[in-house]
Amino acid sequence: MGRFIVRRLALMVIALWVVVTVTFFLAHMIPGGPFDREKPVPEAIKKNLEEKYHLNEPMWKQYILYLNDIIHGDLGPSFKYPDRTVNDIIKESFPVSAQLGFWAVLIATFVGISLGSISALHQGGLIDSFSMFFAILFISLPSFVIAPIFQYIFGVKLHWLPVANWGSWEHMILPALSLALGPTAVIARLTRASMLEVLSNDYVKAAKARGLSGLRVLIVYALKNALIPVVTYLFPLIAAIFTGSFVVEKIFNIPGLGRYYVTSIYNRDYTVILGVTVFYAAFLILMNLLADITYALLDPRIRYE
Amino acid sequence: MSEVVKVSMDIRVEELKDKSLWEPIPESEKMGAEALTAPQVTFWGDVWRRFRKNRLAVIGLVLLVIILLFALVGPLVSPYPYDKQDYNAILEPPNFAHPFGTDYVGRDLFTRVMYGARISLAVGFLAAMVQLVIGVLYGGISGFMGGKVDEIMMRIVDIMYAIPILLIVILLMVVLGPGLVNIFLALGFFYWLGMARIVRSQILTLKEEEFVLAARVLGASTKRLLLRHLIPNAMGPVIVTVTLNIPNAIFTEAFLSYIGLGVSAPMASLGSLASDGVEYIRTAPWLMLFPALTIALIALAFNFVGDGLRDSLDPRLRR
Repeated sequence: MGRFIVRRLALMVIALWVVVTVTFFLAHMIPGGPFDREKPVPEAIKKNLEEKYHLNEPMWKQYILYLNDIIHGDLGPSFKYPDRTVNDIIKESFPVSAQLGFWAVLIATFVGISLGSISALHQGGLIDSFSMFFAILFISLPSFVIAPIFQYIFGVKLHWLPVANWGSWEHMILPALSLALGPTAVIARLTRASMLEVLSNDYVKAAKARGLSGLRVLIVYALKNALIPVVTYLFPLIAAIFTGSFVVEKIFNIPGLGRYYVTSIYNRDYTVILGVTVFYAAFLILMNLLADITYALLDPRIRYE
Repeated sequence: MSEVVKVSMDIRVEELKDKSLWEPIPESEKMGAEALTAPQVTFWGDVWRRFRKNRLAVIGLVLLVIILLFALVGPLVSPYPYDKQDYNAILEPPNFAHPFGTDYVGRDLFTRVMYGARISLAVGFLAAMVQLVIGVLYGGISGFMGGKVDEIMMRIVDIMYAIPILLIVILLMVVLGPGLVNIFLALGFFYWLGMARIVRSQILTLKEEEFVLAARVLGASTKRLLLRHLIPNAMGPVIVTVTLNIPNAIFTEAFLSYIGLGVSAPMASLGSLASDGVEYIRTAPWLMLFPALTIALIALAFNFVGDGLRDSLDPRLRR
């Protein structure tokens, strides 16, 4: 087990290094310098700026400096807004995204597991066909389709909830639901499939034969084992919700990291794009690592080679 | 030898002396016996039979055909070019002349959605090809060779797999600039990874089967073993994975177009159409609704078909 984790950690570090290196060299492929504006900057100022950001150094030295910065957690300045660094932006906006993401994950796991379990208990019944049909429907709807539809129905037409912006808990409902809907469907399907497998096991039949109620058998005996695939999906789920938030935050005008990322792409604010990409990459790679480790911990059948 | 067995053997010998047993069966009886045997069913015939019984899968298949016709034939018969602006028909709601309405410069949305669906399907087709060619061959070779080669090939996949694809694709698009070809390049670079893993694990199990050993003993070459015996038998999970991954590729393209990294104007993809429509959601909701519905229908069709294929390819999984 220890060796397995060490191997995964090594893999994670290599993956991160690849991401950082790829970002660095891709950044240098972008045509034009970061200070080339429509109104040209005076030569002396440009020179000073380049000196400040080490752009006059040879490529390999810049690369080393960049690696050094990243290891120390410095993701660089924003060239569009010189008074802010990428770290500032992340510090300010990531908590917003995390809050939104937290509620979305909570909704998705709770509703998904409940729906999946109920469907498995009533396999082939009306509830089962109904919820599985909606599951496949919601898997087929990307969040950038769900979000505007929610916005239109509940905000514009019914006036139940605010159309956009951020502040009170009411502002959170629509974006959290838009983010949660797809993952809810995935979790419901996962839970149902693994629940059906577990329910056919002898120990579940034995529990039933001893006269325990259906609900007790489900919660005490079946759920624990049936949830293994669901728990391992949890970390990829968090990753998926965060990438989904790129668009949802943009649509609902929420000041989270996703919106900043998309805005910096629109503005071609390259240093912010690079910095946030590295940050997201580190985050997602960490989620992958956690997923692998929980999977190995929960399922003893996995071999750690 | 016990008494009982001896007796029964005697009876057997007596039976065999019966002349009538050695007579040929009359022709009429033969015909009747033959009529009772079921016609031979091939594996794929069996799959098709099970697929046909799955209502949702058939709906998905029909939907897919309709979408294909809509995207491929539609633009040929549509009276409007996708980029023709008509300032006399701005933001018209859906009507007879424009079934999906018109946009803010009077372009026919129905035609634009057709072209968008074309792009989506092209992306889906590309993703399928990348998986089928690169993914299957890479995974096949890795699993078949085993040992050091497998180790190195899989470590490369592991590392690439750990990298968040979407972020690198976004970055590539920022650097390469928007455009359909660049989307193809960026997607093609990454889309084979999952498939390579699936094919490898399939090949690893199949490799140990007796029919492969038999083929090997009979002197089949590596190429023949791989292309004739191993890959065809791994085809079930491959086809299901391809079908279920196509919506992901289509979503990725739509997402990229949505955040302004996709095809450039006046060309339109479903993602950029939906993105443009969001600004008009209060005044002209159809601008967002129709592209969004189309993309959902495409994904739904592939998911229905993929689910149906999984159930009919491996009936053991069916519940």
